[in-house]
Amino acid sequence: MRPRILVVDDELFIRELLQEFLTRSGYDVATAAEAHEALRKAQMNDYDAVLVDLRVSEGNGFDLVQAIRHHSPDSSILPMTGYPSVSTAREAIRHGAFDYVVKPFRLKELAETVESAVAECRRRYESRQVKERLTELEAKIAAMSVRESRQKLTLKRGTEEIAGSGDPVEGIDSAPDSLGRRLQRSREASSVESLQPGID
Amino acid sequence: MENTRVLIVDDELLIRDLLYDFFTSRDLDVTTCNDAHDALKMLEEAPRFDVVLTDIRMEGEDGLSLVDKIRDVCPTVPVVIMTGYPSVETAVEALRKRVFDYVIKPFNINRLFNTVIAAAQENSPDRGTNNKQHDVRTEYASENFSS
Repeated sequence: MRPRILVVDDELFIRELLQEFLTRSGYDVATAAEAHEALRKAQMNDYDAVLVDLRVSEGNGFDLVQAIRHHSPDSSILPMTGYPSVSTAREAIRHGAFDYVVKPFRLKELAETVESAVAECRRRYESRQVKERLTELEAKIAAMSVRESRQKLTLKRGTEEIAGSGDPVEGIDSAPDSLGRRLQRSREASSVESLQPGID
Repeated sequence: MENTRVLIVDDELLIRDLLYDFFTSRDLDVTTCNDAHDALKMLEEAPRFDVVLTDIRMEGEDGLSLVDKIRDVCPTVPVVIMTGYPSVETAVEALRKRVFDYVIKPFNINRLFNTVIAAAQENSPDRGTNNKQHDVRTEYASENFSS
């Protein structure tokens, strides 16, 4: 499947230029002129990379960046600006942007940046899949070890019960004593009876 | 829970002392050093830090070159850059090196403390999936800030 790119810019010339160039470079390209249109597209599709002009017609470009990241955490975000500043570069860092594209740009350099951004998105996606699978496996292993512990406990209790009902084994050894005590009690009873004649 | 362990790299004694005192008073486990060489030595000997906070302009190696070397020794440790000479070029270079933040001096020390804590959370082993990691950054990015 061709990597998907979303280009968000209110300048028609930039949208058309990037759509044509990136399509020729092997990408599946969508464009949006406004933030709400970009967000709608980002909600409907997963994009490998999103190129966002920071001066989109509505609101702050970073509000849009944040909303897109909320829907597509793996997407690589590439803020674009014709007015580079320390504060927007810093915001790009804080929002975890993949790069910061300053206009005017060279198409060849942009192609390299987009290629790396797509690779990073795929790496993040794969890493997340592996982590999620690992979490599932850990949960299964934990459930299995609980079951195994329960089985061991049941087995232990069963063994103890068998050992408990195995008292007769000890009883055999103690049988003479037990028998002796019963005989003794019997003798004592007879002697009491013999001391109390006529009690009947 | 263990205290967050921070390595501070700055050639200005005043900054090192200020951050050491403030962060220690907030129960962080703080180590300081005055150049990249010492910082790297500490990381190689005991790669146990949760966050590295480094100045850019220092005697010898600068803070941005240090980030590359930190990645070799401790690939996952978040790095926060500090600078008194902000520029688009160094900010973009820092972005490409995937630093957690780029803090401009003079800074608000409470905000810097919050930055360090957020960076440590992003790198926390119990952060789980990329989504949780993303949540930490999103929450941090959505806060209002000014330097």
